Amino acid sequence: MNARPPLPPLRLGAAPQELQRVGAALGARLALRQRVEGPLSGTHASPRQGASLHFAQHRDYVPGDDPRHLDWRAYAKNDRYVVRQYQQETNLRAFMVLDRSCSMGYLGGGRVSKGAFAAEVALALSWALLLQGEAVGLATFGGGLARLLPAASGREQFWRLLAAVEESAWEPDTDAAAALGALAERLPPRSAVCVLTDALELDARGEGLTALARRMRAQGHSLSLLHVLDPHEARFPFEDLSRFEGFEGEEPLTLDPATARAAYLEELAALCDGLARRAREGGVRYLRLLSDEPTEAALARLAAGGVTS
Amino acid sequence: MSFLAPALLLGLLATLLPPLIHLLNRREPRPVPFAALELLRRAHLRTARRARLRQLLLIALRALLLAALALAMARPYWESRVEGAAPARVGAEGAQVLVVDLGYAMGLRVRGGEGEETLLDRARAHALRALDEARGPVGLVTFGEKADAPFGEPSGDRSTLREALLRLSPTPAAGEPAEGVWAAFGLLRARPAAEPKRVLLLTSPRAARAALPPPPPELGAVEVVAVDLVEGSAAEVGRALGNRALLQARVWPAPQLGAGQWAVEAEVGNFSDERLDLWPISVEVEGRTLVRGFVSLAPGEVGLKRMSFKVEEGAAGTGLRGRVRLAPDALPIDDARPFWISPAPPTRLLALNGDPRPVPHEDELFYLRRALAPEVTGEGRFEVRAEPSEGLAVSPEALAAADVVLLANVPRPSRALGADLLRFVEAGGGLWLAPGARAEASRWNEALAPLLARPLREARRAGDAAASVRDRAAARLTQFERGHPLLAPFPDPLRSTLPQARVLTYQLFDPAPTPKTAVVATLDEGSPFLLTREVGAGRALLMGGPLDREWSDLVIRPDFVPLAQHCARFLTRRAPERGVEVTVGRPLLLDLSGEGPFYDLSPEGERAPLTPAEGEGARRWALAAARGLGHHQALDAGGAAAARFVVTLDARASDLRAAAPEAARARGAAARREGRAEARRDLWPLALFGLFVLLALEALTLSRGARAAGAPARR
Repeated sequence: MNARPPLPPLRLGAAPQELQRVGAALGARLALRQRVEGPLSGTHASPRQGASLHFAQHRDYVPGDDPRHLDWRAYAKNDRYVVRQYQQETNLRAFMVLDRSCSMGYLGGGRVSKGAFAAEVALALSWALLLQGEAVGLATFGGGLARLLPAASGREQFWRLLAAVEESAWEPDTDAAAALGALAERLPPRSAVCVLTDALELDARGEGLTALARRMRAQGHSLSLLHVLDPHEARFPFEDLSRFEGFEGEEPLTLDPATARAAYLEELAALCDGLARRAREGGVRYLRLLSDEPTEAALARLAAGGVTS
Repeated sequence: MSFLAPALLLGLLATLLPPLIHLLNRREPRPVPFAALELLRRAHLRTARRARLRQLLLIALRALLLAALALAMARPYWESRVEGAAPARVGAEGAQVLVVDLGYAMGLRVRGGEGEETLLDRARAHALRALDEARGPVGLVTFGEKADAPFGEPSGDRSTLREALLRLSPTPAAGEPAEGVWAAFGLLRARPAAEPKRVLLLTSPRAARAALPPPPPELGAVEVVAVDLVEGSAAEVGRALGNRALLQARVWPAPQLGAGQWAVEAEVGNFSDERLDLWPISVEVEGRTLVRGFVSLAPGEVGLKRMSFKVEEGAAGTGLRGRVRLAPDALPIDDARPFWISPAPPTRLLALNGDPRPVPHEDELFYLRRALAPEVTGEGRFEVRAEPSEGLAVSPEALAAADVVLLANVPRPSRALGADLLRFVEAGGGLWLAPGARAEASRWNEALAPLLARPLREARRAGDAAASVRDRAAARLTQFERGHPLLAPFPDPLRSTLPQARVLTYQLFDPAPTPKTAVVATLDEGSPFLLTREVGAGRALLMGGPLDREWSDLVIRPDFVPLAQHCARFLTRRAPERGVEVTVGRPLLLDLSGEGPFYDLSPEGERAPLTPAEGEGARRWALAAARGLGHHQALDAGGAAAARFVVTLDARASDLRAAAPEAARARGAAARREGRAEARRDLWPLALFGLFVLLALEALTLSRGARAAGAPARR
């Protein structure tokens, strides 16, 4: 095992109140979008139709249906018995899953380390969801599943989430796919799972994400993958001959960055494209974040793309 | 392959720079923590090999680039020289004439295969090789003083030619290649027009620079080949042909430096590409080195070296052999110039004293004697012989033994004396007239009329005649005829002490001008004071007062001494003897007094008769062509030296630097014009082309590397 560069403990780049402010702004944006685009998201639809204020569709009446749901206006027009069906609203259970592997402790050109950035995004997002009355939980994974904070609603949950984030430690030897697979079994069914990871270990062989998506779907979870990269990882701006030292105990690598830059960027693009492609195939939301982005900007991109569904 | 500037090949060392810079740049890598190490490792595995190869390629390209640059700057060229075999093969079939230069420059020692050899040795070797390989008839022309064809038309007789070639030796002449080539054309005239002909010119590089005459059209095809006797690169050729020469040496008496002193002015040429630093030069007289010095000259510079030396007394009247010598170099013949010096015999002054006194300082000649005393004279002694005289007569013996006659305050010159003096002056003697208080103007005017520059009148007292003696102003010498030979000792007479002399009384002269007279100095009151007159072959000098202090204090002024000495010399009309110099091979005319026959005695002791020059009267004798470098004497029948002269080298041929690249190229062009294919190919454009190709390759490699690196690569 090679010596790793020392990792500082996770330190958030912003005060919790600031994260709350950002989260609240995100909530407002989500509400705005709801008005503009109609009831597509925001309050979360259950796959089961039921009694609700929100009309879902008409269905032909079959004997046994509650006659209260008969649409008399439609009968008047079409001379057919149709039943109105409504979308049943449920409380969303969202889980923020943070990657606590050592590589997330890398701070290259960003404002904070990737791990801290991921925690900031997770907390702000959590606050936005909590404000909407959803239940939010937290899971962290390192070598195995490290910690699972059950989902709960209420504003106090934010502080529990914060404490859980700050307590967690960096863990080497991450087998991300296995850890997340195990997590899928432990979450309540039909949870919204938002995984924040650098995906360096997740998809090393290109199959991890597909398998994970399948397992998540089997449990009825909806999976979002927030791919967090340090700007130095994304752009590889090094010039002079350097000895690169990994965080997972790899052999150090001495090379001239100028000669390897193109190939490295190709590799990185292949990784990201592969992830995006497999995410699309597996019905997973995928978004790439750079850790030097302001949290607001990252969340704005999240809101535009929609993370939870 | 040769190089025009081989020193620049040192630039090849610059090829070491790129690898060196690469090694120096390989410092300790900076540790950089990086998370996505797996990606990087995969990228590295893909690119490392190619990047390393590209780097090695770049270093090699840059080293080659620098090498090409150094090579191009050294200006390589390829020359297929005209070696003995090549020309002989070309013209082996037809008739050919070997033209060998026998000028003194062919004596230049150059480094050969075994020790040193002269250019003539090389020419001989070339000629013998050409002779061996020729299959047609061969002729020989040599040219030194003049072109000479000892065996006439080309023939098959090889052994005679071979012996003649082995006997050749340089002459002191300069050698004119055009004459030699022309003579060769003359030899080829008898050959059939259809036969191919060739002229092989073996000459010094300087001579080869000269334009050669085109062959006359009736000769048909004639190939003129000028052989390069000095091989190698331009720098080598330049070094081999470096020569220092004495071009001229002038010697003249320098009495201003002291008794017996002579000045030498030597013209030294540095005909080489190297600086001449502290090169020894010396003057020797009769085998004794009298003065040594050094000359320093820039490449190609010609400079003057001035020195002076002293010749011991007692040598007067006899010729002394002198030589200016440079330290010897590869061509020793032009490192010395001979000269004769003949210390002048004393000037004999016969002073007719009209006012002798027993008290020395009151004597009329007291001051003149002191001005001409040996202690104060430099070159050229004076012998003053004084006779008290009333002017009645002078003995013919005394007159014959005098160069200058002085009439100092002689009261009444007789007509007989006047006639004697006129004859004396007309024959080249000098007459110095200093009338004073005792001189009777009417008698002077009567007896000496043809000799006086102006007829005398009465004496005049300077200033206001009515004033008392104390208050009376004196007249002063204020106007001088600048440039008159009499004033030669005074660059600016007004700055000398002459104008300080107070002239209280002076002789008035008739104002009417007389032919062939000149007023040299005039008093501020307008009266001439020093006048000269040319009479026949001699001169007469008339002063406005006597040579004592009776009328003026001129004689106690310091500058009276050079004035008096120079007056005496001026009147003898003995010009300082300039050495007669004749270039070897040229005719010479000599002014010789006395009856013939005369002989020329060369330094080797050979005698050649001089012939009377036609139409020049009996006194001029001619030598058709001067032979034998060095000191010559013209001897009369009795074996006494009647004249001396030196025979010197024609220094034009001393500059051998014709093999400078431009000249060589020009010569090459000329040779090509004659139909000769001289192949000299400059290779540096090739090197330059290679350089550009390498540059393009480097840029290509760099740009590919930059593309691979994803960013503009830094140089």
